[in-house]
Amino acid sequence: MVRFVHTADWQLGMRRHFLTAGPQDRFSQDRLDAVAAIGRLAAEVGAAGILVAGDVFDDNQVDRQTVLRAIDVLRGFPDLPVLLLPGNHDPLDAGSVFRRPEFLDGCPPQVHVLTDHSPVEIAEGVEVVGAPWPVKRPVQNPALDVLSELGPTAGTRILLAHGGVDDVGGDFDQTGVLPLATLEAAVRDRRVSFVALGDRHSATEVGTTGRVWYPGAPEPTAYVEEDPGQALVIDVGPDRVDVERRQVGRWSFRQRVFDVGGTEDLASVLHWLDEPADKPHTIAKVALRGTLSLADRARLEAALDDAATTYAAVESWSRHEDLTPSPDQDDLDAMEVGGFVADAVTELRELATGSGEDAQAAGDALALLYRTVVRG
Amino acid sequence: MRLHRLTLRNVRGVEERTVDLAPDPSGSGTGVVIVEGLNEAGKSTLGDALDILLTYKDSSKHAEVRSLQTAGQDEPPEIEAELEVGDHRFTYTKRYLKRTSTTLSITAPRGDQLDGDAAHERVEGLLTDHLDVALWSSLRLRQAEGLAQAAPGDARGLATALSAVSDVSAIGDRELAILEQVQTTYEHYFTAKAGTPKPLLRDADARIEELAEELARIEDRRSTLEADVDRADRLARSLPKLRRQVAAAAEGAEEHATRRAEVTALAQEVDRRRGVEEQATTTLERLEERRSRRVALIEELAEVERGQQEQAAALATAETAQERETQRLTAARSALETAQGRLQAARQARERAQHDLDHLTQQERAAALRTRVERANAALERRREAEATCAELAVDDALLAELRQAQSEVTRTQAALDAASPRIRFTAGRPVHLVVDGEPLDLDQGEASSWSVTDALTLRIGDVGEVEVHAGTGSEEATDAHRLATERLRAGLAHGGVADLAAAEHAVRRRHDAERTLVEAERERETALEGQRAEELEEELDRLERAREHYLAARGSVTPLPDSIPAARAALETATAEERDADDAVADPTTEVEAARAALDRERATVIELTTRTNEAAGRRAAIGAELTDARAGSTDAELHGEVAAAETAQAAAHAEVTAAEAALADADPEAVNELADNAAAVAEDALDRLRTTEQDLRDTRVRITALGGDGLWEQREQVATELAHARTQRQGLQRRAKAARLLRDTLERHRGQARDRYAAPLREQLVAYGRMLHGPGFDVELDDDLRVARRHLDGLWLDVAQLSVGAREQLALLGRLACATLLGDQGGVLLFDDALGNTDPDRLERIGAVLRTAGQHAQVIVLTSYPDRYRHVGGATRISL
Repeated sequence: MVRFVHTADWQLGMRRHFLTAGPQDRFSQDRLDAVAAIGRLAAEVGAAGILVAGDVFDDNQVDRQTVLRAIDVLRGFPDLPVLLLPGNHDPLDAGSVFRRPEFLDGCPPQVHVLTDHSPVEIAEGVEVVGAPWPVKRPVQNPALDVLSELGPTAGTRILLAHGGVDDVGGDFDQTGVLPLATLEAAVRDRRVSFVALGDRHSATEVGTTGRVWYPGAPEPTAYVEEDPGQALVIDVGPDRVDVERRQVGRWSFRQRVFDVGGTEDLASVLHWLDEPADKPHTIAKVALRGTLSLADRARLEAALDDAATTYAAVESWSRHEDLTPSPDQDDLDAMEVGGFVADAVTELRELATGSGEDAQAAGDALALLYRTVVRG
Repeated sequence: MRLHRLTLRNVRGVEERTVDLAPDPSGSGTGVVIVEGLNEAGKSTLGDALDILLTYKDSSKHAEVRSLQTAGQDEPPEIEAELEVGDHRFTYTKRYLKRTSTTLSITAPRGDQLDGDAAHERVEGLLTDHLDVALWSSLRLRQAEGLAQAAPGDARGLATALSAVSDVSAIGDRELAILEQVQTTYEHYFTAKAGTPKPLLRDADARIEELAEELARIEDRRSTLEADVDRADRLARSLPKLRRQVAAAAEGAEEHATRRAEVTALAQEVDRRRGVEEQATTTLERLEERRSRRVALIEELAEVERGQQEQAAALATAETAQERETQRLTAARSALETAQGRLQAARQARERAQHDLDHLTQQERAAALRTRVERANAALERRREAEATCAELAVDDALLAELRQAQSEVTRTQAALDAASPRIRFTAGRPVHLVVDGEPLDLDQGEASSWSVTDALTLRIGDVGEVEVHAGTGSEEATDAHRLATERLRAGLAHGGVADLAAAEHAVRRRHDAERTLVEAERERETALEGQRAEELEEELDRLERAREHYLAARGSVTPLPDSIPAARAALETATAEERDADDAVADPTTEVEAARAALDRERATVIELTTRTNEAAGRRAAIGAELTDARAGSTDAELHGEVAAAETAQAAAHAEVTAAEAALADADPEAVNELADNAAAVAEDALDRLRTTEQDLRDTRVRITALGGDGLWEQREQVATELAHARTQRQGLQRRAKAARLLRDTLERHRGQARDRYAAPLREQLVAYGRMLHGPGFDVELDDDLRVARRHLDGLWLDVAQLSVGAREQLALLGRLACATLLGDQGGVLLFDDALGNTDPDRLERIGAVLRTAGQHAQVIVLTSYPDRYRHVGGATRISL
């Protein structure tokens, strides 16, 4: 049995458009912290090596600072083989980040960038064969070339590869997709003992052999990811494989669409917004459908304003947003308006029940009126 | 509000005055009060005092307050009013400037007493609750602002009243405040007037544009970098193949180069053998040249000697011919000279004959000319004589006629005198010497003489004595006539230079003869001159004379001068014929001379040429002989022929070797070998060039990648894209809020306008009702947003207020206030008019009286005037005289 840590998709240098400067800085730093945690995890579990299955960097053209900070973290890793596989985000092309002077000069000796198919022995009888991406969009996944060259092995051979698998759904780049059947055939034929994949950000077991895995991203990057923020501790032997998921990240994404019709519905929205314990590391997206009185809408807006401050980011899910302000008698009583203002409210109310931008503007106008009158 | 009483103390010179503004008989508190008074009677002070009382605290030192003080008086001004506001009735008193005080005594609905600021504030509260102070102030119509319309548009009291009447939502303070707040929010995004977006919105657009441009720039650089990355990968992949191509091409080039070296050696052998052959050929050619030269010299020497002999013979012949031609020329020249001598003589003879003929012809002309000159001169002489005669004779035909008439008159008067005068007849008895009037007269014996005594006559008879006879007076007239006639005759004769009439007639005849001669002589002269001047003729004649003398002197006497022109002409013909014959005789000898001279020239040239050639041939022969001698000294003729034969054999052998070597080279196909070698070398060079170019390109591309790749373009792009997304989100929010603000503001404004339009209707109706009372049924008005009259309709014509007459505008100002006050009713203030209607004509005043009366039934109307007559048509008004 050999034990190693399987991770991928660090995508260092990634930026999220919904994050403002402060949260973005936190996000970047926490991703480096998650990588550092992986190093500590490997030491803790006595791993023979750390296998990074592609997309170490978000792009070959990341900042020099990003490279240097990554190097700095790698220097803190335990003294065991760390194999970095170029993936589709950081392929080994002429502009490869792994060929940049700041990387080559600072890279610690135990860190190896897999530039070809040559096997790397991380422990006695345990070799890792990498399938680095030579370019961003290869004709086919380089792992298929590797597999076609390999014969059965008596020892332990780990294929370190990157790309989507046709059996696994998801919104991934279809370039260089790997047929699951080919992978499983290789496992069955004992050409490989374990396929350590990267690309999918959710920790996922692929197929039925138990020997094909995605570790997911060490920190989540999008709402749709399932079970991200982990690294896998793998034990591989000729007859068995043990996989342990270990949490390394701290960020979370959450999104929800609420159907609302009154104050009670609003309360559930406010509760949902208040739920997360670690709001500064949480990114939320929310949409409301239905009607709210002007008072409720004012409360909702106040709560969203507060959340925008406490959360890393709160996005409006405009695709699902369909909220109509509906002034009720309480609103009118609260505003105490009569005369031509009351006439105007009636007209805006009518307009707001329609659709499109004018309806939205009418709703906003009513909300503005409410704020003006009630809050002054 | 109702004003029941107003009392002033020590105000503007009035010690104390109370005006009871008694309510109407019905007790409703409405009605019209007309306060009359002269100017300066204090009418305006009443209105001012009420304003001051309700506005300023007793402690105020405002200029209006101070204006109440009577000049030079110490007592402070005091104002007291009895008022009804809402359901409150009270007496309100203030003393200003000194010993200030305020008291309020409320009698209804409950009695109460206050003073100081509490009293002031209580009244202020009552007024605020029940009265629109601003509107009240607006409705007051002062003398100085008689044309201005009240602007009650936003007045709360009127709005309330109007909304009550029209059953339409009023524009309350709260609603207006909301609108104001919304307007403030609106102006956060848009300009107040034009409604154009403010910098806040524009800046958001600009920021997005700026970021989008920045993003595009980064994307461009990324594209460049990615293109370079692709290029570098492609170049790197192509390198191994290029290197293989270079190696293969180099190998091929080497093989071809070896083959080319072999062919080059063959070619060099051919060149060497050609050199040997060339040398042998040169030797042979040199010997053959020497041999040819030897043969040529021998032949040339023989030729020169032969030519020398021929030239000697030819020279002898030529010299003979030259001598012969010389003699021929001499003979020809002699014959020519003879002929030319004859021609010369003949030509001279012909010329002389011609000159003789010319001379004689000229002499004939000279003779004719001389005759004509003589004729002309003779005629001229005759003319001059005739002219002298004419000049000499003073009598002409006219004078002669006068003389004849004078003579006739003398004769007639003599006869008359004789008839009238005594007549003396003396008959000499012996010879006697008489002197009659001094004239002597000798008479012989028996001879008688008689005299008429016309005047007096003295007759001396010898020494006998003197008889003096006087004619007496009877013949004086005849005597005078005769004397006058005689004197005239005498004067005429004296003028004509003649003694008597006979002499005069003779002179006239001579004159006629001379005049005829004059004419004839002139005609003769002209005939002789033939149109020329006499001087010309004489000059020509003179010239001909001189020519004759000159010719005769020069001619000599070789032959005699012919005696006539025909003889001269015959001589000329003879001489001309001789000249022609002599001329003909010259032609042949001339031809002969020329032919002989040409022949001689030819022969001379031949002799010279032959002499020269003979000399040249001699020189040539000597030179050839010397050269031949020198050549034979080197090798004899036989030796030279032997050397030539040996050289020919050597050259043939060398040529055979060259042919063999060339055949070997041709078999090797050197052209193809060279072409192939060149091509292989070029291919190798091309391959190497491609490899080097590709390597250089790869290095350059990698340099660029390194340069750009280190910039972190991806993160730059992500950062700018993030900022752009934020900017867009912010702008979207901003636009959404701005749109909401605009929609809310526009909606509120529109509803406010609509509400005002609706509740303005009662005011307009009331105004129209009053206007029709004044102007009849054709009256109508339109109100603006401030509820002021904008246009007036009358007699089928709409006019803007500004277009109306002063009087019409004054009436509209009054009607508008009355309409407002009418609608306000109990909630209105006191409607105070201070000397209004100064520009309204008397007819209208009557109708205005009716309007005031009607309005007075709804509101308290106080009219302050110095012209009570203007308001005499106000029925039921209370009139107070100050």
